[in-house]
Amino acid sequence: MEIERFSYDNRIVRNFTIATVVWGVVGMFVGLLIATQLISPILNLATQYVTYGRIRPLHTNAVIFAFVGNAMFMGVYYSLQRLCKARMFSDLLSRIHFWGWQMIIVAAAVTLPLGITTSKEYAELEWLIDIAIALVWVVFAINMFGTIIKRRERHMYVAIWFYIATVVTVAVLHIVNSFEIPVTLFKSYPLFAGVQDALVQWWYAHNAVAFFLTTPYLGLMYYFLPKAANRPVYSYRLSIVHFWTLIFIYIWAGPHHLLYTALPDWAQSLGTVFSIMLLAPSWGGMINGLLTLRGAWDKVREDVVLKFLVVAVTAYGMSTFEGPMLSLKNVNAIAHYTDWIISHVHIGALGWNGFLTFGILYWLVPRLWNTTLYSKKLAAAHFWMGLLGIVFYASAMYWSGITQSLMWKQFTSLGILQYPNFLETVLQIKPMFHIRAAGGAIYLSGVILMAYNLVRTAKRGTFAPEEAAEAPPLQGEISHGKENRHRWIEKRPVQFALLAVVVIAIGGLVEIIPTYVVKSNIPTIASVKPYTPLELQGRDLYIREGCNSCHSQMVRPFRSETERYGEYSKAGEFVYDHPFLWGSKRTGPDLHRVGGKYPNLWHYIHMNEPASMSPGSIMPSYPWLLTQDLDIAATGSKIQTMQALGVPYPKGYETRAVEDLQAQAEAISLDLTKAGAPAEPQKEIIALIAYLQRLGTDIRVRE
Amino acid sequence: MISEYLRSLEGIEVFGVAGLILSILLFIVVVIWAIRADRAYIRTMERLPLDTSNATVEHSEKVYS
Repeated sequence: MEIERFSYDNRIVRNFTIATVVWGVVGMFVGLLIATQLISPILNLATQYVTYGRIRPLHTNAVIFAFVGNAMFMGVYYSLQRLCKARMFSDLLSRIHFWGWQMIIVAAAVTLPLGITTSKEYAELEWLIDIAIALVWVVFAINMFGTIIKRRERHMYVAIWFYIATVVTVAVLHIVNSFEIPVTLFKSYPLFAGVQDALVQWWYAHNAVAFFLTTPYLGLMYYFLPKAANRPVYSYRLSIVHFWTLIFIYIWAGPHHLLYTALPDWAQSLGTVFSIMLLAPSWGGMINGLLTLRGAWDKVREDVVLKFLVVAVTAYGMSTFEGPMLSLKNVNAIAHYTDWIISHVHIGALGWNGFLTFGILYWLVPRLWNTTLYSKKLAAAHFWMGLLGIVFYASAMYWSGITQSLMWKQFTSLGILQYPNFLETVLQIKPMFHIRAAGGAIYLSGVILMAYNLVRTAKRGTFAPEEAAEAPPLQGEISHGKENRHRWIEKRPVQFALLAVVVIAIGGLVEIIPTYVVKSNIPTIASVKPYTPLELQGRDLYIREGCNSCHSQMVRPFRSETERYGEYSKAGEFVYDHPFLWGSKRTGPDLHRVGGKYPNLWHYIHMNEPASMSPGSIMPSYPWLLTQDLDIAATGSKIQTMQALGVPYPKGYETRAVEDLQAQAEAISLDLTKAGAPAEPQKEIIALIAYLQRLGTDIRVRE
Repeated sequence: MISEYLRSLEGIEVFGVAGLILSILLFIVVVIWAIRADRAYIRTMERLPLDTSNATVEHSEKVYS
């Protein structure tokens, strides 16, 4: 048989490797910054561009899409070529993918601090960037399928299945969750509202965790763990079961992010049941990873790569055990909105994604530069620093989450809240914020150590952009007689991808369609009216400042919450909320019933300097809201867009909207002036106050 | 309590039950596939990430079998 000579493209792998390390340091540094901001609000640096609300999304986006994203591409571009015994389909597409992705990251790093955001978690980037993401993703998909199609290895190894599932599912998720109508170049409103928007968003966000942070990394695990241990995976049969059950079940579990909210009960239950079932495939994968090292545990003691990989897989196991537990309604009632969730996601991010990435980097960089690792001692130090960082981080956040939750729910013997002032529960857990920041600092120092080690490694070696390889071309179909059906499908990438789409689509459709179809069944509460133009503008300021990073707008039907906040939230109250702003974390109190609770003056002074109204508050100051003029240029088009989305403003209202806006602003300004705070009506603070005073008041019985 | 209006929706529970049955069926089918896959095939597959030139395969077979 004729042997073909070709070469693997290592340049693209190197580029993604460098990007992984650089963005990893940046993303984690922003994480450390926001952790310290929670200790001391001064670290918001008195400028709007680095306030907590704006840069928390920067941290999550940088870590997920820049650090993990680049690491995923690094691993895929390296392993796919070798598993397919083929060079990447197109060097040009590889380059477009690389630079396109970096441009998107830069765009995110610019727009998020500017307050250009959709407010939807892990999908904060505005519509123009959404389009760019879709295009770059298509480039990646073409490049990947092109490579698979021209492969010289007949069979597709299980890692490739995980890559295929990742590519197709992320595309579906991203597109569905980005259905939005542009208002201006930098502003859009989502197609869905309220309950539907929440369901679609958490279907997306949950599965972003599944198909951006998990499936590609499982593919990497199935490739790099056997590679590093130099032995095949424990059970290939188990990996077949692992793959199909995991991608099928994951999709259904999204509603577990919305337990006890205004989401329909049946959807909540579905989310819980499937989350529990998810434990099986997740642990199947973990066991498969760990048992690959059976009989080779002595290697783990010496090999730093294996150390990182073992901790990564263990963290995956812990995180995927905790996830289903958190999906039980009784556990969720305690954990939701608290730091417990922050701990949970960081076991995943620092442990699973972080450590797997570090393991791969320590394995890959010496190979790319044809040398050996500069310092094993530094790598070992990094390992222990990372581990210590995780322990500090996680234990502090578990402690803080449970403490705060218990305080929220504590009643006195007289039946009144023991800690009616939310701030008390924050001050109680502040020491934990210090420990968390210390843990993060240790973890980040380890990463910087790694960066130094890898740079020194690269310097002592020589990088070979082309790695020669040879393999016989694929011959025509050879029949083995009766063929196992799975063998049939795993030789056909396109059919495989279609089957994967079908498998993931089932869960998504079952979840979303009923809720969408029953739209008419959400009782329109007669007193729920669209926002006034000024309130709508104020709402957009709330989104711009990322208030939803720390404040929920969803009072759950618990006595401890109705006592603290007021009547629990109803689905019908959110029908005009494009987007929904339920939030997922209560670093501050819930705001759904804040309307009318305080006078306008209170909000005015509080936004300027929160600690003046609530001594000890860790909320940043927002003095610029008092000095900046509200941009009312887009008021008309905002109303028009809302009308297009089905919000019942009267016909032609967009032309009168500004008048109404100004009248309402005058009234609030007058009220503030009377109270002793002369505030001009055109300032941003007026709009924000209008929105806050409106919140949750629609169903209030007026005397 | 929160969503009584949706509970009255006819046949909504079908979705949940259908989901459960589907996933159990999928699980059974996949397990049967995996069990019936022949040994030689599994052996080839699991060695794909390792160095697959014939010499190495024989070598690692010696080491691990």
